[in-house]
Amino acid sequence: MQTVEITVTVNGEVYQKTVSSNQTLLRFLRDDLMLTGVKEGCNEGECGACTVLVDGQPISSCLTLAAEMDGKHVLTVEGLSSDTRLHPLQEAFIEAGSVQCGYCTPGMLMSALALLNLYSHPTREQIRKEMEGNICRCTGYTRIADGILLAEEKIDAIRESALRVGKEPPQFTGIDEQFPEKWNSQYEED
Amino acid sequence: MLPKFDLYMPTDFAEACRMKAEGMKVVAGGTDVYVNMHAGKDHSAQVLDIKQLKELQGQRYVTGQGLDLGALTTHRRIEKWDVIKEHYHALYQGCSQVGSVQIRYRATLGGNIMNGAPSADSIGPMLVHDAQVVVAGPNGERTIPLDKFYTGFKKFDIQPDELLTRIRIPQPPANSGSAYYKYMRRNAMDLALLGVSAYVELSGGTMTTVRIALTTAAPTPMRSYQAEAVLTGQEVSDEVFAKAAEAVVAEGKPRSSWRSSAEFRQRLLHEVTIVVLHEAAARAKKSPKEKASPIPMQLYPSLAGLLPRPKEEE
Amino acid sequence: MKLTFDRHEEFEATVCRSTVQYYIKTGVKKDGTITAQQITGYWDAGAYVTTNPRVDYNAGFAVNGPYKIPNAQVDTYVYMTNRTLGTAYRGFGVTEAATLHEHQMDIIARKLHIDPLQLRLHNCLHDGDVGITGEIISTCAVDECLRAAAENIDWAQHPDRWTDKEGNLCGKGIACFNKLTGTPSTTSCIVKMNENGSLYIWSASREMGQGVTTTMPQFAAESLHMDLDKISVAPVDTTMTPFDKTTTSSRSTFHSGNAILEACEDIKRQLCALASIHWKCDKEDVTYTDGGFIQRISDSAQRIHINEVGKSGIMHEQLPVIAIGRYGTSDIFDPPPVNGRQSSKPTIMWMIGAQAAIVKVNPITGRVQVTRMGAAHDIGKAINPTGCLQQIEGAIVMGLGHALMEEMIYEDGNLRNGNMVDYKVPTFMDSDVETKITLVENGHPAGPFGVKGIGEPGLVPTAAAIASALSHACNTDFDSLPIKPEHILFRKEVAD
Repeated sequence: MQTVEITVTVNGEVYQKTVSSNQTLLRFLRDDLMLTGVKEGCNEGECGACTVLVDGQPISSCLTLAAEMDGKHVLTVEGLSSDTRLHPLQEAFIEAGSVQCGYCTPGMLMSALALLNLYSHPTREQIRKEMEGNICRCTGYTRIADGILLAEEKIDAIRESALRVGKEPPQFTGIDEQFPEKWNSQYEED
Repeated sequence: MLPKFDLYMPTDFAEACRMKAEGMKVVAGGTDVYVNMHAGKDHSAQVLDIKQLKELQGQRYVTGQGLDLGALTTHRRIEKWDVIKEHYHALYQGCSQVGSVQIRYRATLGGNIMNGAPSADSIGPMLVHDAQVVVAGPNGERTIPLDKFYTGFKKFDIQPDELLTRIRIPQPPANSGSAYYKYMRRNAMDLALLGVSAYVELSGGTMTTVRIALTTAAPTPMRSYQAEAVLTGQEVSDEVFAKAAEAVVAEGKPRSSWRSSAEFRQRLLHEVTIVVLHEAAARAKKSPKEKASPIPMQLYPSLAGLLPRPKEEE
Repeated sequence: MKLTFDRHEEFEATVCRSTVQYYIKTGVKKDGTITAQQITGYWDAGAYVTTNPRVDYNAGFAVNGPYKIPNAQVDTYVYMTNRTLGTAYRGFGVTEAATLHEHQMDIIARKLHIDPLQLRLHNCLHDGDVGITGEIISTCAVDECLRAAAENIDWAQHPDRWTDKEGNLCGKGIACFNKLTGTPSTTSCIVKMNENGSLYIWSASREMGQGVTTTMPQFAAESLHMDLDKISVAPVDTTMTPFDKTTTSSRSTFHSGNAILEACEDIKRQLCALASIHWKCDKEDVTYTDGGFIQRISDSAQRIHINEVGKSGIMHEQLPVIAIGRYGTSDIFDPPPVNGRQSSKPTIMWMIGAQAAIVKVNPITGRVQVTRMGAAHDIGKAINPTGCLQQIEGAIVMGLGHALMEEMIYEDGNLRNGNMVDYKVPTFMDSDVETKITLVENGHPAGPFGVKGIGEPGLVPTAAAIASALSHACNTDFDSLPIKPEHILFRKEVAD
């Protein structure tokens, strides 16, 4: 068949769409859903600029068909923050100077989120290995690693803060479809 | 941009075999097929996505028996599985250095085998671990040793209506160790300019079984039988490793391409063979838990002719 | 209208750094003093001649390096081939030039048994010396930069080359440079104050991650003593934003900064005039203080701070506060004539810096690890220190790529590696370099608050420093980039 019906959850919202069989997830996100955070850097899985999380796994959306997304949960950079607050990774990237031209940044953030789901306290060596698929030409990478480590500190602080007032700490995993609201709600922070 | 194609995602194995027989392009992770399509090198009009087939899914390790891996097993699954690091270390080394995390979450072992690239990183390790592949079709199943599966450059012992379903790798004994060295020009996201895999079983200091496989040294990934014959029954020594390395270079016959010259590849093949044999032998001596750890490359005396004379020490 | 290239087309049919081949001959006294230098260079412009002659021209002034050279001849040519268009790429030819002159300095140092750092210090320019165009050199901190860069890798604690405990070949190297900025050059801006006291800047300096949309407000904030978050920058649109020659040449902070400062002086005058109306006094009785107060001279209690000017109401129903700023360098520029290129002022500012590297080479595989980089750049004034460091850090990794792995490979006229796996740029796994950077603030008299530039200089000496370290480590003379494992494994060592 040349078109496929899919029901896909993107950033917590459910979409029912008809996609061409040859449409990549990258083009679906950019052209059909207007989520332009994901970038087309090479179309060969060699730059990481198109990285999104599908059921929590970071993949190159340029090499994935939209047609494969039926029943899946996709998270893009637009799904990281809520109306009122940036994700700790985004805040940390700003503070640590991890962003210059910003083209690699959405991909970096998604890979970093997957990394923090895997290792809650990664070493720099682990960061380099898990992020090896994201190319950056501007920063020299070190400040991006700094940003990831700073984000981990922020997440720790928010978790501790929540536990201190007896609340459920937010997950920050990106695979919970209520994610943008869940971590943003309820409790006081120091 | 991907060309226009009809997409099929069957859940029934027999139907998938029929579709394959019609000439449809088989896709699993898409990390080879879609790359080629984007580059304008593949214009297949019908694509057969096999990811729904239960027969190709799942992976199992049974102590004493070994691995039963579905063809759809991803490189990432292999990378993160302790069993592999401990018992099949070369396979861990091969799979963990393929592409990037993003690629490894999608790229499958079956796809790596069926793409038939001489630079495939999972295959050398599978060869030295005596892997077998299972192909299945309307006429039943066949089990084929992996080192007999390639019949030529991108040619396989598989019928048009058969699919690769499982990969089986026997349990290696406790006195064995394996290693894979992938030579790259940068530290990540690179093809193997050259690769050597080695598997050694040690009894005392004697190598009772040796298997060596070469990556990007021939049109297909290959075992280096002559080099293995040089080593089998011999004591581990720099001299015998150097002899084996010479045999590997003679057997491998790497060629020049715009990527690198034959002369460079031969030199590397010689060096890397020695390095990887040392690592496999060292791993063979380690306890099961220790086998999972990395063994840093040492500049072995067998490479003495190339080593600098130590100068003013730091 | 939308034009899209795929990645291969982007490699093959857009622009890239040119190939250049230089020949250099230097006359040197036994004590290391350079007496003469002759350089011939050939640039590959690719299929069409676009920016390449300008690159060649620019590099021609820098190719002898920041050294005292009493007699010099430089002849360079640009020719067309059937390859990708060569153009200006970070460094505008000076990156290539620095690799040449620093390689030459290393050969001289080796032949005369002089320490590579000492040789450079012995020959380097100081303020008051005569430069290659006859210019009397000023704001030239090469000496300071060389020493600081060397210090940042503990230069004195290492020989030129050594073998570590594991048997790796190790070496140190150093490189310095002088880079011009395009002159003459012009820029302009419009600054307007909104009635709520916020400021809006129109400038055609284009943000691309280098931080110009931060530094321009910083200039305005500093000049007016205003809160930074009250200042914003308009999107660039050349139908509306006033002319700026180009966002290249490491010139935006310098040129746009000057224009903004001029506009802000006018803003101050206009606000003082409005205050005088409000206080019903003479215009001459109102001044703008250093602390950001619009203040009555005859009664200092009557004052409004710039951050409160929106609330003060002095702009209400009055002539809008809007100012133009312009800056250009045509008046100071002394055009170098075609014959001899002698000029008392070929550029408004020379950017100066140095980097040093320590490398570790696996003698079996030929793989290189850059373990340490030390850098020192005279940026005049660090308007945004983090921004300066970000530029240099990123440039160092880019330079590592240039030195070790980046090249466009042609076979029978066809580009073979026009994709992201075969054209190799450094990845996260290649970035583990212990880096130490010194920002030298020497101050340029014409730069706003003394600033110079840093967008390109961070990259200019990097590959040169790494090549220098590799040549030392491997006891050879690597004379082309990239330096790949096969060059290392099949090298011809120099006689001891």
